[in-house]
Amino acid sequence: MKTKSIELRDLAIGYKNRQSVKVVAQHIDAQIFGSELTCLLGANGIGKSTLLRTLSAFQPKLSGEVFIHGQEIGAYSEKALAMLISVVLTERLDIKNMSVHELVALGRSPYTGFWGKLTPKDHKEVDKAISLVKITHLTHRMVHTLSDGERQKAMIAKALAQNTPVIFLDEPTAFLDFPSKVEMMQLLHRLSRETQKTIFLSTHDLELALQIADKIWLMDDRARIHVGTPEDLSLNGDLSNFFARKGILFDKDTGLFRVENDFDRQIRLVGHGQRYSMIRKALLRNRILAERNAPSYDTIEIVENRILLSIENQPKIWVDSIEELLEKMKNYY
Amino acid sequence: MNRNTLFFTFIFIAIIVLVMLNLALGTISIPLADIWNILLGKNDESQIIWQNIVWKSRFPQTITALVAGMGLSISGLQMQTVFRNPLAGPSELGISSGASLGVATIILLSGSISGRALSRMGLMGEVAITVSAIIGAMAVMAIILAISQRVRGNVVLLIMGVMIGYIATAIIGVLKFFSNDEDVRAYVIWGLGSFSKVSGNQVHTFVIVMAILIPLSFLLIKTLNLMLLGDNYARNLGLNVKRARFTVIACSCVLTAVVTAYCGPIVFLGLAVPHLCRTLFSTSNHIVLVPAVTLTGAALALFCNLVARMPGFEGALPINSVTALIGAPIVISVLFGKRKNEVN
Repeated sequence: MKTKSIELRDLAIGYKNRQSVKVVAQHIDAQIFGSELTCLLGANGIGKSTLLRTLSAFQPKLSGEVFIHGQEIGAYSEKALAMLISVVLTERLDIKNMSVHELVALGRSPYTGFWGKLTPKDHKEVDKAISLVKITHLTHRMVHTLSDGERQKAMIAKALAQNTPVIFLDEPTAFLDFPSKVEMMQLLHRLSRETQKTIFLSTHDLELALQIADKIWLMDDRARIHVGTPEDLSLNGDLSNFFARKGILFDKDTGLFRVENDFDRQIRLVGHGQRYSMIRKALLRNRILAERNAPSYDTIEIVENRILLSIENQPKIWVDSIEELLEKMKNYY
Repeated sequence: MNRNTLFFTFIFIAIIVLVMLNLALGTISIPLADIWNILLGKNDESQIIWQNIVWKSRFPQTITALVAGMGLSISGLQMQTVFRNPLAGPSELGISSGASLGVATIILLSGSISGRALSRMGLMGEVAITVSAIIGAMAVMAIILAISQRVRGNVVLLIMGVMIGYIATAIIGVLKFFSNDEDVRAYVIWGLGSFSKVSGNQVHTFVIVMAILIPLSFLLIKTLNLMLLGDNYARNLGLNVKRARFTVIACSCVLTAVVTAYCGPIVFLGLAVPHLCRTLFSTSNHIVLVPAVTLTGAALALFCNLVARMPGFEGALPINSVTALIGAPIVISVLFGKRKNEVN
């Protein structure tokens, strides 16, 4: 069953001081559901962090309402909020000499007593959190010796130990290498299913978000937010409008983006299969469009494992790799 | 955990040994057995001189060093955690400078205004110095706390503290210029710091005040642990960051103010001891660090006091020179050690 976990009603976010009010986004009406992974997408400086900070109660909203589990966010006490929302932020921890276990154990703070001493139940929660993100082998390592990805997982474990129904993450995939990004997103998706938590994160990793997220929030430069599944957003054109820029092509068939290369020459390409598409891709990068029925007298022919290049009025050339092909073609194109 | 117990036992024994040595060594050496008798109150008429030396001079000095070392080290640890800056320490926030300004005002102005040098006024003068140091330190603390409620960044606050320190030093310079030589000399001697100025009844007051303040700072352990994570994470874990910052800074300032009032500005202890303990116990957890810093601070202060009184330095070295000569290498070696560990 889908449960409405967070609801924004006519929310305006931004910054207010004595002299002026700076509205970052307004008239936001949207819901975030439990057991789902929701990704917030948008260009740099558009207000993703401001939105996350407002939802985490780090800064006051300008107007409107934020309901979390049916209650207005301002009505929660600090202590109650600590048991409702946990966060993973972009700021890098500067802690020396703290083990992963100690860090995750700090997530239990809202539940521990005056001295912060852990009860057996707390210990169990800490161990569970560590094993959920699969870093049991790092339990006794010092946090400052971890890699970026491992530290990010430790912070997620801290958030899990906090045992809140809602987790907000600000760009959890930043600073990670590609496999770690994928792993991180899959981990968060798995957690949203296994723990029935509401997981809401901001990211710049478009491709991953479109493939892994259950819901996408698109924040555009007119301070509006489009919400939907990645598929619906691609069908109704929101995604392509949103990222309509020179050089980026939104492929509606796959629902993904690709880089659009212009071309100024064409060549005929004969063959099929993977080798065909790879040659096409490599040539397109070099501003040459290779197609079966290209209007050209020159031909590239795929013959078993080799490639035959025939340029008009020139001797035919056999090559064995695409690199070699590109090298030979440089003389003519 | 076993390693920690070992260290704690070792430091505890070191403190006992250092206390005994502090009582025994000096211009006149007293055998340990006799010290023991004197401490137990076995009155032997033939040892009346030794009794006087121990009870009137060395015991107050030892106790002062012990308690001052604890206070400054805890204060330093709290500052370093709140400001998340390894260079933060009791003197860096301008608290010591504030105390100095208070003392400078009373010492240097009393000569010019009333025509009587404060240094000639005996006990009255000492009390006046203590009170003015506390007032000076509290004034700076009030300014720092007021600022801490307005500015967000900890670095800004730290820089403000340093700037207030400069202003205080500058005013002291102006005061010095208009004062007579005798008063300037009295001020300079106070500024060198000493555990031996506290005498008689003042020791009781000092120890009682510190005996209240030190346990109070133990109550902030969970707060300090949360503050390690930074303001946002701490707030998310249910900590009222503004209030916590206020409490910790206030606690730290009061500790420094009281110690400075009684002993003069003592440098480097508050900076060095937390670094030493973090490396020794290899933890950032304040449930270990706070007791560790308290004990290590006491031990190091006793050691410095002992060195300052070593036979040969008859007139007693200024304690500030000793704490700096011992404290600075500790900080340097700890930082170097850290580098090496990180490379490995």
